[in-house]
Amino acid sequence: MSLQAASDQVRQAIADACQGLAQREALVELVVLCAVTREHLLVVGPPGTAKSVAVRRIAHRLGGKYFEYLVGRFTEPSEIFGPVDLRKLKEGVVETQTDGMLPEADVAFLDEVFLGSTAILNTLLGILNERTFRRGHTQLRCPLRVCVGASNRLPEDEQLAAFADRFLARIFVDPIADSGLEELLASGWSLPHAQDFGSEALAALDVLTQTARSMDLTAVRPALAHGVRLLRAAGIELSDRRIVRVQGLVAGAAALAGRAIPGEADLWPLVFALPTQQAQHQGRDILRSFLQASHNDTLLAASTESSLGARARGARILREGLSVIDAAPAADQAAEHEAWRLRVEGIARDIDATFTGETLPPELSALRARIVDVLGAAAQV
Amino acid sequence: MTLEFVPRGDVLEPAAVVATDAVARALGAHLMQSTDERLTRLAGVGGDGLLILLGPREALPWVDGVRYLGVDPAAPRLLLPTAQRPAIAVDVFERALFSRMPSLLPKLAVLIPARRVVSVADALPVQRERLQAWLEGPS
Repeated sequence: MSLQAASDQVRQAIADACQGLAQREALVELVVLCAVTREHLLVVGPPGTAKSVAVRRIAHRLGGKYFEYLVGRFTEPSEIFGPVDLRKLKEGVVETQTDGMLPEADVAFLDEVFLGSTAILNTLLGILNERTFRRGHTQLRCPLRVCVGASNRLPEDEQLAAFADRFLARIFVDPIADSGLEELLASGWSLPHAQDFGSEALAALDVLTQTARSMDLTAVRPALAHGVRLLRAAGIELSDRRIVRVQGLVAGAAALAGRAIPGEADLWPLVFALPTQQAQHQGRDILRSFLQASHNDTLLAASTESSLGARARGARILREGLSVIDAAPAADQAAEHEAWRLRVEGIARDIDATFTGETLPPELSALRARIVDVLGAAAQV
Repeated sequence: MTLEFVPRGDVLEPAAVVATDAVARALGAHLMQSTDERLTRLAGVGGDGLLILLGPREALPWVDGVRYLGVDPAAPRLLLPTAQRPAIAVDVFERALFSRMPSLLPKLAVLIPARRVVSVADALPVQRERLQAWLEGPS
């Protein structure tokens, strides 16, 4: 499978997974980026913000084995890693039956991960760091591509913070803003049921992983170092481990965009490696100019969200605009027509707020012209 | 002050919309058809051939020809074009404006290409009666 074909397939998988999800595209995309680069993702946000739904949908769409669990203070290790094999135990051997459990998963989601006991977190550490499950006589290589941990807030305890540091990428989700409520209600009502897509996308992920691992990052290292210096000058520190490992995210972003060589367009994952929400907000501001070349057709929402760049925004506006403008309800459906008109107006607003007449790309110029016609006709209805 | 504005890659979040002359009247007329809920989210200043509306991004209306303004963290007392920046450092530009126009209260809306600076300190909540009066005023 070629790099472009693999990128296209994963892009389709992301699009399929995002159907029916309101404003969680960046989360889905980061799961994929981490799966390609074999890093782990921490999702921080209040309950009921579709964290598990988003992860579940992309995991099912990618194929492979998926494990999900809501961790509690009294969760036993066997509930996550598997029960002890009683027959072997009678022979004096402590082995774990891992069928269907986390050690055999390609994608894992652990909700309230920081509530886990020391026994759970210590075992998990081995899986996250070395992809190896060790318990009693059981030692198993784990196929885990990405572990997504979720929590309402970042841990303050030092030991838990050290464990949290194993999740290189972080995304902070908030409840849907007022402007997105209609979309939330509509998409939540019509959320497609899970389908069996097979495991073709996993093969595509493997191609992207191999490509990312073999990339030459010589050309982007100076830029990446400059970005870290900008952050340090503003008081935002990244550990040496994070600085080194973020290179993997850069390479993964390039591979997912179908690029064999990473460039300035692929530096945006640096924002998602910043450990706190405040650091990410500050980082976006500090790195505004640094990230203005950011662009990724496969990870459109994540690259836009991290970079605030015009090019990434433009691609997203185009995609949204084309899907909205052709979906006009009948004129006699007054309420629906008004809602659609407001969405089209919002697209026009995004175009004019992002570009000047000189910088407007031709495809967006064409979309804008259609919007002017459509809204002019709508005003006469 | 003659100053060039150049495109900016780091687009600002829209916080205001501005229109002049015929576009301003079209914007005002369009706003009259909006819901009360939308109007309550907006504040504005209106002058002779000028309309500036402030509010959250999703509440800012659009008609063909309007321009959007936002706040650059380096110049928090200004409302600047969302997709353009002055050719000099933004904070220097802010200080220069206020030193030349010390009587104006922030925030200042910077209008290009009209090359006007308008204070929005006296922005009032948008109400249909005020908007209608502005539309019926001298054109």
